[in-house]
Amino acid sequence: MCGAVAASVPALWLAGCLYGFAGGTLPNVRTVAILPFDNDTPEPALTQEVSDAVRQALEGRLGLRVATEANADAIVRGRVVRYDPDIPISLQSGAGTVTVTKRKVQITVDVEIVNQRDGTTVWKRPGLTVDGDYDPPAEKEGRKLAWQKLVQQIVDGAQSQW
Amino acid sequence: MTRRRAVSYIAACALLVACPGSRKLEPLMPATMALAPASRDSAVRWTRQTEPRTATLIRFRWRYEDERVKYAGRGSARIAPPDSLRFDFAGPLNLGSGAAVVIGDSVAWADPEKNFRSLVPAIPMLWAAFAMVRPPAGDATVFEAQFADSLRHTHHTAWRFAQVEDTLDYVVTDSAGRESILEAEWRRRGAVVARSRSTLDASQRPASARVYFPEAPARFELTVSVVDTAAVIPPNVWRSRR
Repeated sequence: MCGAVAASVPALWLAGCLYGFAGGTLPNVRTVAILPFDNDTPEPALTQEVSDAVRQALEGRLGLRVATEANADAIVRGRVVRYDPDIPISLQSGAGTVTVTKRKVQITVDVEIVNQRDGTTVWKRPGLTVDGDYDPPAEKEGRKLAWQKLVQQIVDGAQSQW
Repeated sequence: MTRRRAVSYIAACALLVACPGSRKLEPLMPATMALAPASRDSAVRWTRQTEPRTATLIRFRWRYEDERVKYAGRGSARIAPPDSLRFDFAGPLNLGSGAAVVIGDSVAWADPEKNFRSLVPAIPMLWAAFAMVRPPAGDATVFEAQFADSLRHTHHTAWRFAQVEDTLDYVVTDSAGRESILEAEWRRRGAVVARSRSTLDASQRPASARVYFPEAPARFELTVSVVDTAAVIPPNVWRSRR
């Protein structure tokens, strides 16, 4: 029994190390508060969707913990600057008509992560543009893809801080 | 009275005081207040003074409470003077977000409309919450009164905009350079629809507000965190997608 415990301790320690290195994180930031993004577009749903995407990136992928603004090491804030919901990318011509068979959404956001302890900007990406294709009229599917790209961009950006 | 009964009595009284629906609202302007007829133009001039001079962004935290639900969150109001307001709100963890555009006393669009209407049932009170007053309607009869409280060193200005069914009363308490208060009351057929109390900081910027709806009963509170008077409002915020 003692041997089993002795064997499991290094295994747990190793697992802990692997977990710690797997996700990567922002320097000196363990907890974040996500403030509602300003929404400069006519689509109110983007406020919640961008927040969900940012949470997925920070909590789900980078292993940070979401906390209240008062307690968080850092705050995430930003702005949904632009939303183009129906950019045609594939056309099919018929007899005197042209049908759009594929469209894409394009979303531009400003994102900033600020360390609350010292007031420094940990990471900032103004004008981050993501897009997602969809078969009309499934615009929401296009947005889903665009948000997935945003998640990846935030993860890549944060990991480049190592 | 036994000790037990006394405790029960105190508890019952406390409950009555705490319960928002049980309070009898005293009128914002007592019947004894001497209001004099005033011109609509003078009222419009006064309301213009309450508007921001430039495009303004106001960030705030809000709380809503009625008998069934209690919500809190954050929001922002982007105001393009004289009469346009884009209102964005989000609940806890940014869930339940929505937006609306108000032009004057009308809602141009709200999305989701139900969420906005439950949060903001009275448009004049939304303006009043940000310490701004809409000009009286064209057919409104206007009254005014001014008086000073020498003990508290405050100056009060009262306005009444009366229409056939609706009456809007406003009382501004100015504390000579310190924070001011704007109180508003909306009555429909004599019954109070809503009552608000907004505080302004020394720079006459909105600081906090509480709006009370006695019929529901419900309460909406906001605390301002940022007032940005150099805000740039992009034209897209006014458009509706629906």
